[in-house]
Amino acid sequence: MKYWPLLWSNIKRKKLRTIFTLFAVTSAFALFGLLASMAHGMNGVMQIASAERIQTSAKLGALPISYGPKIAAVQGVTSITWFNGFRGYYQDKKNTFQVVATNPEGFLKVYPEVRLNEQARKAWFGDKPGAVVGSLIAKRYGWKVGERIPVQSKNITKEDGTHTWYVTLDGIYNTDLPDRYKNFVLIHYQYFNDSIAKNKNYVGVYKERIADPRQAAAISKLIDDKFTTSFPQTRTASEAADTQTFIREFGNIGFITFVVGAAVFFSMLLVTVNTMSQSVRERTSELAVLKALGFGRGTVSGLVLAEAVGVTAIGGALGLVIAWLLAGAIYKSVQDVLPALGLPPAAIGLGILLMIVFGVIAGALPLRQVFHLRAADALRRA
Amino acid sequence: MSRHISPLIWARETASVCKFSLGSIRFRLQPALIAVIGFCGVVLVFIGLLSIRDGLTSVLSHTGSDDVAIVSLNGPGMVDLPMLRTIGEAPGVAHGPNGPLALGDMVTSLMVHKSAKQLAAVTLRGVGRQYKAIWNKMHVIKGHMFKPGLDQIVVGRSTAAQFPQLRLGKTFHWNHKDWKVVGVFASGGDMHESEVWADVHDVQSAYNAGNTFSGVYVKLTSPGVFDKFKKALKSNPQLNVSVDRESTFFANESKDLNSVITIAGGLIALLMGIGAMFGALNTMYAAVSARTREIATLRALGFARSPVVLSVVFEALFLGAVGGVAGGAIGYLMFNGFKATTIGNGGMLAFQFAVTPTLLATGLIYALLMGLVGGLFPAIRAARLPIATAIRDV
Repeated sequence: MKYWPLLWSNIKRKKLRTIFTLFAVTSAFALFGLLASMAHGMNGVMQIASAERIQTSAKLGALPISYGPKIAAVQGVTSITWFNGFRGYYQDKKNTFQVVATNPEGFLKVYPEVRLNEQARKAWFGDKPGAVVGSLIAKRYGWKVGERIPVQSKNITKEDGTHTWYVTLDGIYNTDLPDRYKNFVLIHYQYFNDSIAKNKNYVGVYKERIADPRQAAAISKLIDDKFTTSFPQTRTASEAADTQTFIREFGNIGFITFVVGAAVFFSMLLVTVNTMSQSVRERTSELAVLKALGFGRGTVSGLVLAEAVGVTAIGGALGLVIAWLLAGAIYKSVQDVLPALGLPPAAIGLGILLMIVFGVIAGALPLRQVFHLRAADALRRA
Repeated sequence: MSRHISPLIWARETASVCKFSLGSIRFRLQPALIAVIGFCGVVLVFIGLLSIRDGLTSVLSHTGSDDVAIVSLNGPGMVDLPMLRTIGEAPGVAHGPNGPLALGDMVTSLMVHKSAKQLAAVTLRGVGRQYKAIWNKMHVIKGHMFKPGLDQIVVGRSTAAQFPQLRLGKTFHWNHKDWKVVGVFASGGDMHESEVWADVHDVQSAYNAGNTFSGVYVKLTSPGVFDKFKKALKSNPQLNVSVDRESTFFANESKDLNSVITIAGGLIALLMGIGAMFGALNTMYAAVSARTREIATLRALGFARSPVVLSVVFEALFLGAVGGVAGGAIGYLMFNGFKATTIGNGGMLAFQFAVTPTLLATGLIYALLMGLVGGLFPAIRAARLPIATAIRDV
């Protein structure tokens, strides 16, 4: 690192310019990171969908709980779960989260992605007012297994006229799904349904696990055919198919945003690269002096490249950090549409690669010109 | 300022320095061009992203009138005839020749192929015979209105354009019935143009819904009676309903999507703006340092500081304006009227990107601001240059 002082004084040569260049690179990479986070957020919807899961909803109106056994009896359906629930809060009305009322055994079979240890499973299955919660929400409120938690609702009234459910925490689940899915409070459907004053015996959606994903369409049809003459009729489709429909429709805009953003990212970097090249070109005579003093081609190129890559790397790293912070800041407002919003490791890797590539281009462009000149000519140009 | 000069001379000095610096741009074409491209790119993307938002907002804000209320049930279930009657008897409900204008409707979605591979949801709305009283903008532009009892449908013009299966004259098989497309309707560019309409009783029978409805549309005697109407329904123990004005209902429904576009789009435009500003700062500093000798000469000739400062700022503003106008023009040509679809309120929602005059003006102001900030600091530096050293500087 004996060249460090030389490198440093080059960087300091025009402090303002270096700082501006650095910030331009920073905002370009912040943009890149943000776009990558959003793309990941979109794909995250896909990642949650499983080919082995199909879902049944009502074409009109709401699904009665009485459909459950009929759907479960359809050939090819290995297990079934259903959801109802409400937006609950804990202590303060601002501490809101989703309370999901479901059938515990069925739920864990249909969602093998949700991990819950054997002891907690047993405790929860047998404990009607029991609950299991996601790892993140447990951490946020400091809930411990065995604790009795008051869960409140703003608009659902219990038969006794109150709005509070006291649930015992039987276990904490974990999952590799995006963070949003680690913030649920899961309770027994039976307990919830018995307690509410109105709108009993309905569910929001049925989810079925099927043995053979290739049979998804056929099994869906078998289910829907059972209810052709009932009210409500059902619409069943694989999670993956439904998600694809959603993504294609929503993605229309996402794609446009992405293309426009990517175009800007590259043009911003090109402008920056040009500025950096300019600053090397201005020093052609200095570089010639170095050569005249006996520095080799390799050393001179190394110095120039190190300077350029140094600027793109520092600016780029800052930009990615900013993108990460921004993604974290907006996650709450967009999580319903982009549940997996976040900077994926692959994007960080690609970002680092881009920093190096652009740094090398910025340094290499003027270098060609520098080496084209003989030291004597270059010196004379000054 | 060390020298006192009359405003007239000052103005003349400023004008001539500005003219001089603009004239010399052609000798610094490359950096100037890069700055212009930078400004242009930012304005372009700014306009592109916000035209999406404005296009969506335009569709949603055209949907619904202030004197129409939407009544929907809290919780699951359907609206039955006694409930419909109770709602019709509330204060503020307008009356037509056949009694109160409280119309039950049926809203659900159809899954239709957009192409061989792509399925999309389209909102199907079953409406009663007095639909004209609620949706007065709706009119058939091709074919004719559906006749009740015959399973006929009319499709909004955006839907007709998007789905080959739902064109005029086609028959669409859905829910064990064959629906015939007998008309295409327009509705003043609102979201109903992305829907499919049928007679409410045909939809009820296709869905085994008996004589129940998914929601109720109520024509009020005037927009002002809304609160009274809402209060009456809310305080009725037989009803557990939400009451919204039609004009705000759909915008609220699409809040999620809107916030994603506004937040993400806004952040992207902001980041780009900051990036481009630093680019502009660099360019203007480079321009000032390239003109060091020139500026020092001007000062030595007796020009005051402020005209020199102004000329640099003026140049940056000029570059900003050129970039802003170019970005606006390209943006307008590229994005205005661009047709896109998204998901709104459970079904497909077609809209067009809208590059509004306000948006163009905002884009230009944004570019000028970037130019101003990018030019101001280098300008101050130019004015502070000590004349004697600067003139010697190479």
